[in-house]
Amino acid sequence: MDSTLVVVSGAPSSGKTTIGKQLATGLGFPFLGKDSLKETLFDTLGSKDRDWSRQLGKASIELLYLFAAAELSAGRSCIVESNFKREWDRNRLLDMRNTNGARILNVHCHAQSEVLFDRFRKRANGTDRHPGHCDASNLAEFREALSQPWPPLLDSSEGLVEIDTTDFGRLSIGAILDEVRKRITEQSNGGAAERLRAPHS
Amino acid sequence: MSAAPQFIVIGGFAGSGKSTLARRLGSELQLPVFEIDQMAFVIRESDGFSDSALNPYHVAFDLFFSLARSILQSGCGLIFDQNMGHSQTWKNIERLTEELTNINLQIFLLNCPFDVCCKRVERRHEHPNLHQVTAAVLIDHKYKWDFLEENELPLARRVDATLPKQTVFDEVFANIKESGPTKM
Repeated sequence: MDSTLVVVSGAPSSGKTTIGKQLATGLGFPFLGKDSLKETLFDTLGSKDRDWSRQLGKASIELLYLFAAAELSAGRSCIVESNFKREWDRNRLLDMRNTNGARILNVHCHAQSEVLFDRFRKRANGTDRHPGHCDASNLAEFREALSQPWPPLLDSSEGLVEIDTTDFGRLSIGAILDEVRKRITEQSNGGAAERLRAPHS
Repeated sequence: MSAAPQFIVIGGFAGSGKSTLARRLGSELQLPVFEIDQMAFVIRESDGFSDSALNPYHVAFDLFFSLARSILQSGCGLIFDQNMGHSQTWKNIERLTEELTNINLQIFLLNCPFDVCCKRVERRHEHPNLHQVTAAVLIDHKYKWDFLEENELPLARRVDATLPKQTVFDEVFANIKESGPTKM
């Protein structure tokens, strides 16, 4: 199969959802984001505290993996987006590549930590953020988390596009799309190119 | 991608052969298959839900419809594997089709006598698979079978699930092909 799993990662408020949705539109892939799943769970189960938000976050990531597996096993590409952690998610994603024979490309968003925290605080105090996340009441925890390194999931030899979103206004989604398309093609040249040309049975 | 995205629903009681059919269609049509059972299982097993009184199926339903909306909105199709034995599920589907007018909805119901369903589920249970439903449990769910039998459900096309698997597949597949172009 020639499907591609684009994994958009990065720290909270690094611009993952914005970039991920634009990539989905540009590539014509379905977009699966952790936060929209989590917010559906908040609407169904109610919003409580930060612990509850963390639990629903875990359930949402499990569901994200389930949905991605459904897409890939149908031979269809998709984009998954979450604040994936290298220590937890790297091996699971590599397993998915092996199980489903899919290509994986990691699009990793990062920015200076002060910029991240500033954005985080504005979003937490804004009206668009779902209250279930309990961001505003846990700023100290996030200030600490955002000051730590948040490494990408894959290494550059494995398929990685890094995007510095510190100055969001200067980003060109067209250029990012070109780069992502190029990297997907490069990965398919490692043997999958033959399969790409093979007619469907 | 210009054709309306396909929303294919495979319904029917336990043992009617939904999942087998849905998975085969998924691989032929290159569409992802979403099973409520799997979703509910993942929710139930995740941290924090194991001792919860919440019904993971209710959560899975809400999630499925939210996900289906976003997938269909991005122009991609999907297959939904669900018994369809609840009026609420039909309402949700109707609401979705009112909201998203440009989708190609097709619902197939696998008709199967209750005793045949029970026999099939019993046989399935002898396999060391993950299926957790036993024939004894099915009695408690007979209201779903009744719902499917007693309601006209004009949106759906009924297929005789006692026919050989290949015949069932061919009939459904031919119907899907007839209804419009698919992305192959």
